[in-house]
Amino acid sequence: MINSQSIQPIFRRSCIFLRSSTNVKPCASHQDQINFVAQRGLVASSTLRGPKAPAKGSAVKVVGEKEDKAFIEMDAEKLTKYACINYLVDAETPGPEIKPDSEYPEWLFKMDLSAPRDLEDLDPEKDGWLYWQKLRRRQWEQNKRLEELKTSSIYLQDSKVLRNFKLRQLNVIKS
Amino acid sequence: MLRLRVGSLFGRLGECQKRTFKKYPFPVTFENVVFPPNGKMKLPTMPSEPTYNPELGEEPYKTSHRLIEARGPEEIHTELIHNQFGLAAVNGGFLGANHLKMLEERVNKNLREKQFAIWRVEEPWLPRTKKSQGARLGGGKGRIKRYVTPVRSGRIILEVGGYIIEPEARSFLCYLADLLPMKAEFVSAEILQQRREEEEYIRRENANRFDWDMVMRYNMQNCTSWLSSYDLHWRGKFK
Repeated sequence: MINSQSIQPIFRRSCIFLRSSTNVKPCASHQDQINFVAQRGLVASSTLRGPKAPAKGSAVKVVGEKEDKAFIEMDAEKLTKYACINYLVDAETPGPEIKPDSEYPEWLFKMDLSAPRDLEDLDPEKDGWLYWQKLRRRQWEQNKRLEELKTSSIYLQDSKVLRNFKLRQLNVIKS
Repeated sequence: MLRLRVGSLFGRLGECQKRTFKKYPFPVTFENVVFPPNGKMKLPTMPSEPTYNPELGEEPYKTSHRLIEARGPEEIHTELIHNQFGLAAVNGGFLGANHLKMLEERVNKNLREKQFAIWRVEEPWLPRTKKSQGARLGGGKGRIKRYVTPVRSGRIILEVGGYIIEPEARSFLCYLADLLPMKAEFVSAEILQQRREEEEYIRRENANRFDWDMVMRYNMQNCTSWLSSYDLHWRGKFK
């Protein structure tokens, strides 16, 4: 086990590496932090996949079931000491070692890793160009959707065919 | 997004190459959207028949057609909860389980990300009986074949909302309105508001007071004797 003083910087760094600092409370307990890191390790190792299936139409024969190499890494010390990225590579460590905080630039810890905001949450005076970028994106998306719908849905067109069809149903005009 | 406008050599003099940004109107924004509190975005499946609890003394029963359930104006479910778009009945009628299933399938298929739909009608509860084919008359009422939901005029059948623009909702709701057993239409919060204002305006400013209400009040041409009781009750507006 590692003590609570040593886990603090490792925890913070792993948060930054995994881009999930928003999900964790700043004053999480020692056990919470270890659990969190172990949990992330689960995500990282379960995403490891075996070799790809052969493409369709190729002459390669499909070999029988392969051994599943995926496993869940529960060793919190290892997870907090290394950036666990290369398990399938034959190497001594599962990834590059995480150095102390002083080795990294300051801006790394001040990065804004919150999820991208919607147009509704932005303010043109505070956020500036971010707002106008989102606004432009929204305009383009809505215009694109509208153009799609205009051709696919007869109910959005001022259609003579549909109008006559409805009038015929009401016996206003004869077919 | 960039558009290149090229002046023809033989075009007007003074016109030259110009790069511009394509201009769009201000987009629809969704500040006031309220998502359903239970977090369900799609329409849930409606049970085709009610469940009865025998311990409480409930059991299936047979009734007449009860056309009165679909007559007259709807008094409660006439407004949109989420203030966006919906499907409203124009006439009264009865929705079967097949209609509700059709609505569910078509609406859920057309919903995109961050869009939701909710039911505004209850599940089928009114029994409909049928005698088997070739059976002779008599011998009591036939067995229960299906259940229906009565809907009165002006009732909101379902609501659609979320990050959805009006043409998007209109594209599939107008289509569904034509497939229902009663006359139905697409409504939005704006349309309902507009209608209310128009009604108020007519009530306030109308100088010509000749309408069915006046005809019935003064019993013109002895109309109360030959009009139906429903006409007299709802002043000729509903059947």
